[in-house]
Amino acid sequence: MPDNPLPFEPHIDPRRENFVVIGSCISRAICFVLTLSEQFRSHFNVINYWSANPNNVMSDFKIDWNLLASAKVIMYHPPGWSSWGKEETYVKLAANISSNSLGITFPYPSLTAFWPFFVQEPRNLEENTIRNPMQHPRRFPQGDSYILAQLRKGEKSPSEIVEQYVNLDISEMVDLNELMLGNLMTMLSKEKETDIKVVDFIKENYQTKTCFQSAPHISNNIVLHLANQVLKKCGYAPLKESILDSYSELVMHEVPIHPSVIRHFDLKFLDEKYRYQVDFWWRPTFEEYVENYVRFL
Amino acid sequence: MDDDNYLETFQEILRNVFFDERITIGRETTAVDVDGWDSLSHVRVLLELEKSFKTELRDAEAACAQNVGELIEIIKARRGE
Repeated sequence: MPDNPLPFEPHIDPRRENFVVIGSCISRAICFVLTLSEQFRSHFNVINYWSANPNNVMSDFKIDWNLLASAKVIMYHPPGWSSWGKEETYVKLAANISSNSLGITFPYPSLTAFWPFFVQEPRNLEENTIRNPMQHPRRFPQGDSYILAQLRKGEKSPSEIVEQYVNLDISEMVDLNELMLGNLMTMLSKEKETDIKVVDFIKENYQTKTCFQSAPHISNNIVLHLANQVLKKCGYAPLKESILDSYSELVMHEVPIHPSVIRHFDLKFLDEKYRYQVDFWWRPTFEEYVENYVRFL
Repeated sequence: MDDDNYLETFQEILRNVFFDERITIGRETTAVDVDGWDSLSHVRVLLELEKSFKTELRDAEAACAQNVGELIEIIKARRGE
């Protein structure tokens, strides 16, 4: 999304004040949830600059600095919340928030303990003959370094790789508790710089509630937790916990968790037969997902 | 431990984390030079480095190291070398 000022012209009602949000893909979901608050909605226009490319999330935009200067609230990820790369624009942003605006910094949480072999999926750059009903080629939300290594070696058939992978005990290969602790400590150290907090919520809930859809994507439970803190900062009442019950997950896509990881962490909110919302039309079990992933279908 | 030992151990860790025997690194190597090494998988790399070098690395300084050489210098400093 190079040089993209905004994905669409925002509807700006001159009777309302401007609430500007600059951030990663999760910011779209947070904006949506904020507007479920009638108090918030009646007071603010929401203008959301977002990018799915975390390394260029700021440089992707031509920020309207005049708009920022007039904004009542500016919400953004502070420098350091990811390997943002070109962080100088963040520094410029922070320096340009006027004393008339309320600056709210918010986190971009990530968790690899549920997907310890997480890598970006390199094959997504290749042509895929499987197309969804919208005729877009199938893409996998994230990659798995273990399977990719098996494919690269070429010593086993796809069926053998699937069988081997499904029957792995990942807890014998990776210290999952240490990885979880590492994820939490990394977020905690970054959270010192943010107004909005997330680590305590994850610590308390990761076994009983869906907190992450994939390593870089939070679930509705966290979206609501973040949005309610923003509402509080603005002086509004929090939204009820049930407000998102009728919605599917706002941040796509759900990535299956290996059964041995489910067992290790004793996750209560899913099991081996759970169907994951990998895209709008595809809800495979873990094993069905792996069969397709190995064959890139 | 000399620099070559640090590099060798570091390389072995990256090969194990990413299951890739082809990975070869030098002090100037950055995450973008290694397939799969990004801010998310970096947590696992740091954990394995901590285990091997018996030092704490889960903090902002280590997370922000720009290349392998910088990380090695942080490790050495924390080991009192």
